[in-house]
Amino acid sequence: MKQFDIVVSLENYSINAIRYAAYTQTNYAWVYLSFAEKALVNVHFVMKAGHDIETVKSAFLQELEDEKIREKSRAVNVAASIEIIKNAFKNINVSFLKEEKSVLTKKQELELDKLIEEVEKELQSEMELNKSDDIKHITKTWEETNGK
Amino acid sequence: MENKQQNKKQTLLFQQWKKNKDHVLLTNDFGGRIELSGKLFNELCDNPDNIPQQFFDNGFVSEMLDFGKLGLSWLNTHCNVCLSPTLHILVMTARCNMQCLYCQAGAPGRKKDMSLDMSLETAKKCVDFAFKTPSPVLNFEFQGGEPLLNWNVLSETVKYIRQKESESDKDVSISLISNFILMDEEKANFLLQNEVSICSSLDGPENVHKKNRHSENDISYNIVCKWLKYFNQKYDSQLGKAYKIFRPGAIITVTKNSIGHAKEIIDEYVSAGLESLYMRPVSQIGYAAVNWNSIGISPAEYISLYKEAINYVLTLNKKGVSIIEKACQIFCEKIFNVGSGGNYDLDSPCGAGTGQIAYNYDGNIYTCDEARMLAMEGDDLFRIGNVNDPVEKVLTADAVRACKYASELNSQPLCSRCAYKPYCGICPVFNYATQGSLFGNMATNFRCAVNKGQIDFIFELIKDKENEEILKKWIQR
Repeated sequence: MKQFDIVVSLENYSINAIRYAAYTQTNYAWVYLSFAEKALVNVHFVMKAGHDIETVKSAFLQELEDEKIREKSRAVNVAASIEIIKNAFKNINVSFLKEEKSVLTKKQELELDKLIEEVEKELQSEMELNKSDDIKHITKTWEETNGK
Repeated sequence: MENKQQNKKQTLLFQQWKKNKDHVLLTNDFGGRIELSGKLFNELCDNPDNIPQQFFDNGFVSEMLDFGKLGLSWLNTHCNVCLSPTLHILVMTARCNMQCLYCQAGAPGRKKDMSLDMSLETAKKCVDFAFKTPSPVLNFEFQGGEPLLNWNVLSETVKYIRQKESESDKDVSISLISNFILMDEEKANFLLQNEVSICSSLDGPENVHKKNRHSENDISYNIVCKWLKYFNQKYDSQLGKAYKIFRPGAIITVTKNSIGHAKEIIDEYVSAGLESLYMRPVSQIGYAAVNWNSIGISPAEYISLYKEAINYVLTLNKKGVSIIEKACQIFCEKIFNVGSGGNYDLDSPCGAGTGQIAYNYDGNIYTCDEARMLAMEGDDLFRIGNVNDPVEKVLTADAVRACKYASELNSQPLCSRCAYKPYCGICPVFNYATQGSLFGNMATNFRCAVNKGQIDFIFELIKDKENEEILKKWIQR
């Protein structure tokens, strides 16, 4: 079985970055971490069949660099994300409350629409009746009273 | 607005990217997506002093975040965590009259055991349970086994749902997943009149379909084609009808038998009059795991076939043929519209217990249909209750919470740094069944490889403006 080691300094990379970069290569190799000398971590790779040492080595080192970039802004990013999500939840609560106010079922809504229609019709017919007795022309529009 | 705060100390919120030769795709969880050169990426990382405006506009700079806009984008892609289940899957029976090589439902060989049928009493309790959940939208999906084997209960349940709907303020839709072997004119009319949408499985041309989906006398292919055409004709001639008719749908399970047939599969769908197809690779779960040597497919094989299929669909589109592929449509919806795409498997966290629940024939409730299928194999880990339990207890069961935690991509080491995080999702049930833990290991995960391959391909496709325009039209449908 092909094996190799990379020694990484904790002065350049955090232990979390080393651990993550090692994890990313677990499709291609078994990876063991151990403390070497002071502030050094030994990363031992045992290759899985069909994979290339150089590819794994360079991918591991690239992941270390990438993780360093992420660590620069991770704390700020987490804090900002939490604020954004909190804000989003505030909005959804408002829209839910608005929806909850409608307590009628579809059937009841249809009945209500029917009732409103009936009342409107009754009002309309009453208006028609009243119009004929309207001596003072109160129900007529200005155009109806004064227009030519 | 110009970046007035350039003098202030800015923090670039770079957490997830994909490097590809000389360019970098940078994304965030709030809809931000920028493609930039590797040179610019490195310059910004070394010295974030001259930040281009688009980084401010897309939520990549700590000092200029539009919380309202970014929050809305987050909600659009995570809406299932804010609701209760909308998809309610009712397993009418665990019996089936077919013996498909990739069945995950534990149905093969169970033809005559009537104790595997859902009773009407249980079915009504399932419906009552669904109506008690707070979601204003309910989609009932009848599944199996083969649901038509329990037709009397199915039809009575449809009537019961429609009656409950008229007494409630919920928007209700009903769908049926069937192999059509027991379909007849009377059943079809009933389903159409009750506005039940229909979906089946069509794995491609006759030789491919027959290899995957075994039925007595090999009648499945002809029957599926016949009824898809029938429901299509009904869809086309629905003017003047008092009820709405939906276009039928079909899904393809891609197995080793599909390799080399990508174009024929698409042609089959076009000739059946279908305007969409939904491709997915066979999962190594249930009966498929037993038959893996004869039907299994690797992620690389699947992606190769998928590319051929999508390229062919786009060629047909350019010739005026109307057809789309659903998985691609879902990813495009997420990429272009910052939407959820409507597929709970691709949400983070997934929709288990919050977007969907599955009711087995015996009234037991599971986080999702995959979980229910696992139970048919004898593993009840994802059972969250029973139709007799209070809704609140079921929807907050331990398994629901475990699935939320395991499928939230920020709790996955690889996913949390992946540029495709906003477009992707994982399935804890699949992870558990194939890798032995709800979290799984994405470095060796089958679905992760497939999803990455599909999204890689879509980003490759949209480099071509004509392709991009066509794919944008897909999401308008």
